[in-house]
Amino acid sequence: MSVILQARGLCKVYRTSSGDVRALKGVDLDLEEGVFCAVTGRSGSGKSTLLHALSGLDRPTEGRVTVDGADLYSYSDDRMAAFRRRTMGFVFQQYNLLEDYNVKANICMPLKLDGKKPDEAFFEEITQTLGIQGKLRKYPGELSGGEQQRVAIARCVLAKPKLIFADEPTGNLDRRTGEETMTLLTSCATKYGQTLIVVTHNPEIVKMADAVIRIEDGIVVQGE
Amino acid sequence: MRTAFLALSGLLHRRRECLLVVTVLTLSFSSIVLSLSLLGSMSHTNTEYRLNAYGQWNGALVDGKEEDSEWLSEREWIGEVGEARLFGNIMKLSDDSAWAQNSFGLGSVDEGYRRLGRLRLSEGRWPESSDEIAVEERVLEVLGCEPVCGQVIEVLVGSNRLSGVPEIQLFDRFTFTVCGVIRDYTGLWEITNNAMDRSLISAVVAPSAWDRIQGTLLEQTALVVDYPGEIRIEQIPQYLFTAKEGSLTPTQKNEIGQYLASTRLLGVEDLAPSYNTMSGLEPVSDVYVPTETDSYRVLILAVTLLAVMCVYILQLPRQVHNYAVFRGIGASGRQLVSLIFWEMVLLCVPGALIGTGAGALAVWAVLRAWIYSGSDVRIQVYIPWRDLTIAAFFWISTVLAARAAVFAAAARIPLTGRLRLSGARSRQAGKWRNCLILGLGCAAVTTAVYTVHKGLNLHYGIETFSNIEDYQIFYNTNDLDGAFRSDDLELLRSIPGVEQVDGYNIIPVKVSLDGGEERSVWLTAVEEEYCTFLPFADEADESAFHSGNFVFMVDSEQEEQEEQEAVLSVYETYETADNMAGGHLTNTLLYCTPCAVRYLTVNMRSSSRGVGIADGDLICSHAFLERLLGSIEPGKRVGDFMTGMAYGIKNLNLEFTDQAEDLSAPDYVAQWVKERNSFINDFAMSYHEVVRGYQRRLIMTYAAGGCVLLMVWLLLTSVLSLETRQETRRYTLLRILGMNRRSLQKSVAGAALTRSFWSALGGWTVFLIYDVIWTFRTDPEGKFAELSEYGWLRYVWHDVKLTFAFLGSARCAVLTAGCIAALLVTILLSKQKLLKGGMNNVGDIAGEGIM
Ligand SMILES: Nc1ncnc2c1ncn2[C@@H]1O[C@H](COP(=O)(O)OP(=O)(O)O)[C@@H](O)[C@H]1O
Ligand SMILES: [Mg+2]
Repeated sequence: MSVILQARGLCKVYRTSSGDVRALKGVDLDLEEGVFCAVTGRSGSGKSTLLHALSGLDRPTEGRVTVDGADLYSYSDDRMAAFRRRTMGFVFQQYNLLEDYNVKANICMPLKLDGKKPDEAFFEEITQTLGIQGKLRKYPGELSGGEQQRVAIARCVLAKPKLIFADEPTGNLDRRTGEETMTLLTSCATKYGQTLIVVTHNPEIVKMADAVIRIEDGIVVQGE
Repeated sequence: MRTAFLALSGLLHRRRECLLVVTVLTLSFSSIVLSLSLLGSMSHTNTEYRLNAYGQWNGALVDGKEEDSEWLSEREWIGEVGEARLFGNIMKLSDDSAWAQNSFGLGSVDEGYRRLGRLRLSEGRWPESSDEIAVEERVLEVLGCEPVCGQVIEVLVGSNRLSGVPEIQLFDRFTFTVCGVIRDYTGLWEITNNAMDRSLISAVVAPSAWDRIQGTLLEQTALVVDYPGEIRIEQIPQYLFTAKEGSLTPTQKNEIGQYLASTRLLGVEDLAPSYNTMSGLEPVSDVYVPTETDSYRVLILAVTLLAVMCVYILQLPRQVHNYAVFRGIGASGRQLVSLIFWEMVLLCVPGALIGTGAGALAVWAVLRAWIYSGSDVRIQVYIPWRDLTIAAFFWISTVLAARAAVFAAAARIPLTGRLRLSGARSRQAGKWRNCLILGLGCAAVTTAVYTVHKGLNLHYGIETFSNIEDYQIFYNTNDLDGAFRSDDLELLRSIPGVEQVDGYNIIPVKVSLDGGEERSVWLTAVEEEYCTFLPFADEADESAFHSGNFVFMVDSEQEEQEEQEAVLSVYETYETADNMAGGHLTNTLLYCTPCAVRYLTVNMRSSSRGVGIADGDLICSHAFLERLLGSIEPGKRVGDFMTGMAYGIKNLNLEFTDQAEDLSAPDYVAQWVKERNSFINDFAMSYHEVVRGYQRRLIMTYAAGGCVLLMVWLLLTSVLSLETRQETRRYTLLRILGMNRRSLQKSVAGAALTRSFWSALGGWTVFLIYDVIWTFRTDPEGKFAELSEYGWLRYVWHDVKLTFAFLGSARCAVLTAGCIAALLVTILLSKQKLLKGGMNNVGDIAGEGIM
């Protein structure tokens, strides 16, 4: 299988008033297409920072990220945005849905921004799978946390990105809902052959993963 | 375009916020339109009003000739020409008195004449067949008929325009069916300085009536004269015309004069063209509307700025989050900018359009219902496009700036985590919000005080100018022997619509006080009824004045002074002193008498109806003046008087009621004055304009003030409700930690009171600063002098004291208390939920705040 995501020498330094914080200290990474990769580590070890750097949300201080052979950070802001919405999806811990748009508009937003029409059948299928087909006219504020996260997943999956990043997607959910949501996410990803990178503390999920990356203090201590 | 729909669907969900923005925008625009368009609209409507009364023609040839029409059509600077043809005169059947009295022009008028003259029918239609007639209302009355259509009237028609035999007049009886009642206009045309030597057409017949009239009249010629040649009756054409430029230039008038001189017979025919002095008048508003419009522009724009800031602060946190999420899911910067652009367009365009429409409608309604109620003049709504464009530009750029700030904030926050503003930033926003609330409070108080202050000022202005007489009538100055008799005054007083007739006389005299230098002043003798404004100690005092024991001297210094002895000298007036301006006295002393002088401090506001109200002028009773004139040897000219003749009244001030126009009072009076060869000055129109000027400023003040207050209130409530949401969280936490309801309420109410108090203080301060600057600006030279004399601190204090004195302490107290109370109520109402002190939203405290 081909390598879809490659990182070389990733470093990230946060400059704060109380001194610099080195969140990543030279991370190298190769991920093959279609794998399910779990990222684990203690709180504050740099998992989120790594995910943001890999997904183009936050520029690393040093190092290179190549997606599908293309150098991510060599792009201009606009091209990066376009590239991101076509090839990558991100599921946030805080869902981050657009509160002024209803569920359906939220799910279709990345496609709309691209000027594309969503594939109706696929849309049906996803909302069916995620169990939110009855909530399409509702607004994010009217949904529970689990439902909101499922909407966020639908938004991510609908654009059929090659890569899906999820940063503790179940962290704000109770255990059962969290596991359900996670199952939905992984099954979606495998079904559509997407590469999935998930930050999680849940050992069950880690067990399901094809690859596990353990981070400690900004350094990858165990990669598979 | 895709982003336009995105923006729209987003906006639709934020309905409350959008409604606020659109409402504020609407109010802002409508107050701009209202305050700025009212001025223009009123002056345009006033012009319309004036043209309705005096016609829109600029010049007229009333004693025209057939060939004039060709000459007129050849002048390229002449716009439209209307033609009427005077057939003869019409008079009451039983009226066997002299021909000239109570006879009115009869003839036909064409379409153009009707339009240029703005001849309007109050009933019926214009005549079509030869036995139909449309007559002016007042003429019908003189003819002894009701002003209704359909009646058959029998009248005398005569003509003295017989070719070859000018001395002869022909009469005969005619019957007509009244098909229309014309609104009075001929009298109004004669009332101004227009020279109207010929009869204007008061009774309109169809052109086809000419044959009938001529035929019948010519039958008479055989009976009256023994004339060898053929006798024809002439029609006299009358032309009205307009200048292409809107008014006639002196050169053009000159050209008309020359034409008339070359085509008319000196001494026989009318050499003077008539000019409509009322049609070319510039709208008075341009003169009477000074910079307070600018004050309002500034005020409205300042509030607009506040409004944008409010909306910005209201939306900031949420918008920042929104934009961040958009970026997170891969929206490009360009897409976001276009989204913002469309949001702005979708908010601003409807707001501006609705605002402009609503403002225009309000202007129309105010003019129709208030200023021009009871008049059928067409309301002209004038929209100040230039000002609107500036306002729109200002709005859009502030909204744009606010949006750009949101955008910048959203672009700066990292696309990680909660995608919300950091704590420090949101605390900063809270501080801004606090300042904003205080600023809004201040703005409300400033606006309220300013509106009251300005309104009071304008009310006084209206009062002053409403007190001025409407018309002044002067007895023919060439007829020194004659004067208005008391039955003349009675007759004038009996005309419906005439409210007051004051007779007075003026002569020039010289006066010296306590052996001092002689000064030339006017001595005005007033009637008893006219003395209400003179201060008398008691009735005995008053009768002493009327019997001529003392005179008043006008003194505006307003300082109490003792009665003084003075010497009055009367000199002979130059024979040719028809111009009553200075230098009118010869050196011949006619009479000299001592008299007691009492000082009269004139309050202009209550008594500007007077004459000779310049400082130093004298006011006496008729008895005094009569005695004075009687002491002089007969045959000498003193002012308009010839000594030795019976004493009569030379000048009249007339005041009309508001309904005077409907009752045709000005027409009667004009006619009456014309018959006596006297002169009339029409102040009614010009003072009406002045009063209207004040009125429109008053409306503008109230309207703009109201709009601004409403806007401020709306913004205040929305910012307060935002703050309340924030505070609820804090207070709930405090309640959980053990604060009791009482102290919570105390704390909230205390904060509200403090805020209201500071707002009131701040508002007054801003107003006083503005006021000092304003007074300084209106009289910079005088103020600079004062400034150097006092030093600026004492100068400011002096000004502030004057302002407070003008407003009155009671009014100030009530105003301040009212403002504080209103602010307090507004604040407490929006914190109502908080005051209940419930802990029902405990769960919310942990949730994500708006800020
Ligand atoms: N915006 C930031 N500014 C400063 N320091 C940060 C910022 N984000 C993260 N950090 C620091 O970087 C380190 C790694 O953070 P993060 O990647 O969020 O950890 P994790 O997601 O594994 O809990 C932590 O020590 C954290 O304090
Ligand atoms: Mg994290």
